[in-house]
Amino acid sequence: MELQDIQALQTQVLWAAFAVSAAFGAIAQRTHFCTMGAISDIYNMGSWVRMRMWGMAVGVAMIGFYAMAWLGWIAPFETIYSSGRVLWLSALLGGAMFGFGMVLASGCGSKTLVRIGEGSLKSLVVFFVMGFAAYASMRGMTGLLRSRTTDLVGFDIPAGSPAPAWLSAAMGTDPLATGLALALLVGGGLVAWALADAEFRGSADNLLAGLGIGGVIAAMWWVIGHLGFVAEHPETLEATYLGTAGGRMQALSFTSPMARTLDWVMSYDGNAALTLGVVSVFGVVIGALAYALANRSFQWEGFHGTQDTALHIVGALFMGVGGVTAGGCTVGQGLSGLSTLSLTSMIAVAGIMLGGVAGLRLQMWLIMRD
Amino acid sequence: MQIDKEIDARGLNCPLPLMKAKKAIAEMHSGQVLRVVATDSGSMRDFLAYARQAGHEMLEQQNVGREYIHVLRCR
Repeated sequence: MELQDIQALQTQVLWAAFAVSAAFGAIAQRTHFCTMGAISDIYNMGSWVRMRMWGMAVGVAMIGFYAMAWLGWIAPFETIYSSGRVLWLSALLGGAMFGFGMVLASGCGSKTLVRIGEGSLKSLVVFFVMGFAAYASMRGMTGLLRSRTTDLVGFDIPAGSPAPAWLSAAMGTDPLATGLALALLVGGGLVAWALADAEFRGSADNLLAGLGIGGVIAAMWWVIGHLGFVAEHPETLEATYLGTAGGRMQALSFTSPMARTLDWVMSYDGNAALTLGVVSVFGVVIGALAYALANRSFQWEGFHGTQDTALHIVGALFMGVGGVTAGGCTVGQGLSGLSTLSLTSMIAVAGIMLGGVAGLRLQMWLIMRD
Repeated sequence: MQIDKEIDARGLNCPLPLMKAKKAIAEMHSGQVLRVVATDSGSMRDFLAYARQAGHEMLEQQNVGREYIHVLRCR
């Protein structure tokens, strides 16, 4: 493949990633798909409906991911979630920080982008602060702190973090068949659990959120892992995934991409290359904006007062630092990572849930104190 | 309709309007009526689900301009 063909393909990949991200934004705007909301509904009223949306989305993405792997369309153990080094403390602590922050900031990274599309100036502030904190955790002060503390704690799984990789190595089975079987078992179980509830089944929006968001994640795996795969790049002579920041296979995620978006805008000199993360950030905002305008739910929104402002800023800082430390957010480690059945992603998601509950307890304490 | 307590949750996002309503309801008696005014569009779904789960009667829910109004009778 010639260099000009690579450039044309990269453009195609980025447009496809933009379209998939816009679909995510529109579906999330319509259905109120929200990880923080799912935890909050359980904590505040014992309703599991939105968590079933989330579970169904993970299940659909998981089955899609390993079905494509079994068909030979994508390489399931070459993703950013496949590392054999499991940084469990970073995943757990970072996840908890992220979960705590998302409650204070009215939602996680993806919800922040959706809210921007709905006209929330609060979320625009959260975006800038979260992007700043994420950047500092990637390349700056909190990044140094992370690399010298939590990142030093971990263990190795020679076969890699995804469960099918280490299970097939332990049992001597075919990794792709093991992956598909596990995805059908776990992912199918999550879908069945969601559909078992009559209240969940009774709403088309719930089904749209579960199938649509899960489908979007699977579609992004196809865009990057199949459409964007180049076996030998003419410049490096190495295999690469076009559109990614590090040349490794990935899907939707929002914490690091927010930092990369700020970096792209601030350092743009006419030649700065767009990446999957940057187009995803714009895609989600534009998808949510288009849907909010179409259903006339767009409305400008500002801060309620000093406490509201402070809580959003603190939440955004926690999300930026925590998201990078954990290696992803509710979508990065949550939907994309869990779809690969990565052990690190499972630890990060557990951290996000625990942090979310801690954040809700703080919110309730603040309200009771007033 | 007699409103016994009113909460202004305008400008607050999920889950704060609901948490404020929970606190208010905890201080109210059975049969009393709570009115909540919010600006978060997600509150329509949240309050309906909360009323159903907690057993309160949802007397009224309406969208007036940029506001979402919820009226509940405590169980």
